[in-house]
Amino acid sequence: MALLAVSNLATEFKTQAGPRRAVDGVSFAVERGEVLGIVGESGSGKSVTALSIMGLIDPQVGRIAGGSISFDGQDLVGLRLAELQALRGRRISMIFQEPLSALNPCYTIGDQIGEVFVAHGDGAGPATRGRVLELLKLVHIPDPEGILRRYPHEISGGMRQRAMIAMALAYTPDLLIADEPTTALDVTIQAQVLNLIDRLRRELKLAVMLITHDIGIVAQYADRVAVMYGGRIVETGPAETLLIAPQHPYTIGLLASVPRLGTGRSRERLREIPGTVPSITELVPGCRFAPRCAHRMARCGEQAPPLEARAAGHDAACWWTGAA
Amino acid sequence: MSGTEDLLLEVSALSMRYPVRRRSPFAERRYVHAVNGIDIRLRRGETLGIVGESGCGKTTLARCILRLLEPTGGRIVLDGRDITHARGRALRAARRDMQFVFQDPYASLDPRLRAVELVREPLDALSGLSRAEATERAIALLEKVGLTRAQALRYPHQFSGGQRQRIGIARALALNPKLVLADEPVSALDVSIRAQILNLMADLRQELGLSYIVISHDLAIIDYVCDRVAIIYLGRIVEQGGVAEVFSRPRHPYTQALLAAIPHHDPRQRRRTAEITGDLPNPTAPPPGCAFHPRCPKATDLCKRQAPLPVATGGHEVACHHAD
Repeated sequence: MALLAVSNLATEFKTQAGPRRAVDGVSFAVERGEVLGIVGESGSGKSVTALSIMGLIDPQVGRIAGGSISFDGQDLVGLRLAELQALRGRRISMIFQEPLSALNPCYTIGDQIGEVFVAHGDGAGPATRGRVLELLKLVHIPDPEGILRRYPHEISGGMRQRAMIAMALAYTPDLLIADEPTTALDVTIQAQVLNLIDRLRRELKLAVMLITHDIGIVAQYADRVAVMYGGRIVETGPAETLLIAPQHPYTIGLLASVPRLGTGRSRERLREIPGTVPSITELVPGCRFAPRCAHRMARCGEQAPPLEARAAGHDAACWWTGAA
Repeated sequence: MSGTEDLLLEVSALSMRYPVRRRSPFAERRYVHAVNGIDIRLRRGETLGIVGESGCGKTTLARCILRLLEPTGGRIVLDGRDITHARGRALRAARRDMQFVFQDPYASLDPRLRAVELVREPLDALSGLSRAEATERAIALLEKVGLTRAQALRYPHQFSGGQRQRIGIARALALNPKLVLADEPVSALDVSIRAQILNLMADLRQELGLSYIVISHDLAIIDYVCDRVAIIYLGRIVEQGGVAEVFSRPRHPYTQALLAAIPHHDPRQRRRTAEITGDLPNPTAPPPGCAFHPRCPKATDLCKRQAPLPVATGGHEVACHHAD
């Protein structure tokens, strides 16, 4: 059984036009030791999916409207706060895009990482300090003793992201959700952080949900990929087949629109995807991508296509089946 | 390079240093050399890419060239005129010839102005056109960048990110500049929208004979839009030359590391390249000798003592004691 199995998840938010679904019928699974890459643009629902799993949807503005999130056999939807808190930071951890805004500026790095132990009832003290030092060494922070006493603004972006990963690993979670973990970092630092996550996956058998908009990152680090658009998964499959032989017109367009090193010199025009990403308040009937799609048919505007197998483990949600 | 070529911009030995705030008036006066002796030559119609990590000085360099800052050393010659210390009328004339496209189209457009007013603003300030003429020209510019006459009356919040960046580009083109500087022009945009803006920039360059300086950390984008590239590390150019040459045969260890750090888009070619370790050094106390030596796999005693001077072979310039 998969460690995490999300089934038909729907998460909605209040808008002036009434409740609107940011995630609309999303299903996927992640196994131990596996990296699932979730690719999508702003508004695709990829971050809301992550927040739904973490139970971090603010009840003032939104709610999980349907579906189930099975984690190690337990459904997380409808769990009481205390039960969720026992899981979060212990068995499921999340790292965020911008470590500077995710860390508390008033506490030293050592105190913040130690806070995870305090929150789970392990108290503070010399033993905790030792565990925090171990964590900083695990994520290869040079001079861990020195970093312990620093405040977030005193260390570099790469060090902050490592500190956040250290915090996420405090109890060696089973599942790590990384939401655009390197978007705020420089490329040389990005490579360090991604290689670190990959090493931890192998050594600690973590299941990793790696959320990104960067095709190169999923190509290099993900075992399987789910492509999201307009709150739905439009295509999912093993990284090798999905990125080499994409089936959904959105995936095909996305892969063709990104300049790649070396191919740019041909000075061919980049292939554009016309139009813009739909906002949550726009009610697009049928397939959400249809208004921008070159293969649009009458049916696309009426009926949303289901995810259907195109190859072994490779599914696409599209009425058009013309991709080779 | 010969002196007869049609140079639009010549930057020689450009330096910009900022004083570091002292703890006491008796403490030694220290400076950050954000730009430290940079030479750049840009021919008419050419596109130069500037690549570097955060804090390397690339934005300071752009602000000096645009004369938003007055450099503390060196010379900037635009179209035959020395503008290094230009003031008043001469500076206004120079500014007509150089325009800036900003990174964040959400922050760089005044939310209280309509699209047509945003584009007309530079015309009102510097062109001497009548109000009606300026309005007509502004609408024509908006149409040129792919917006409609009807959209000209809308406010920035009514546009998507890609459309806002189109307005930013129309505004930059209003005064028929010779040189357009674009600082990360697509990094704030959704991936599927980036191709639209990059294609637009390429079309405008062709049509209007523009020269661009494009600042980006995304090497694939630089590869796609630029003729030549300059790689900056801690205020100095470490390597520059034709894009195809530099990216296919990088000679400086830093350029090699940058290229190796980019995740490859083909999942069949997974490589965990030797990542470079460490962070960008503190610019107030740069390492002696070559600034890259603490992170460089090839560093020797010579690199610690002596900063390497740029050496050119066939238009490909490298500043490294151990260049390949």
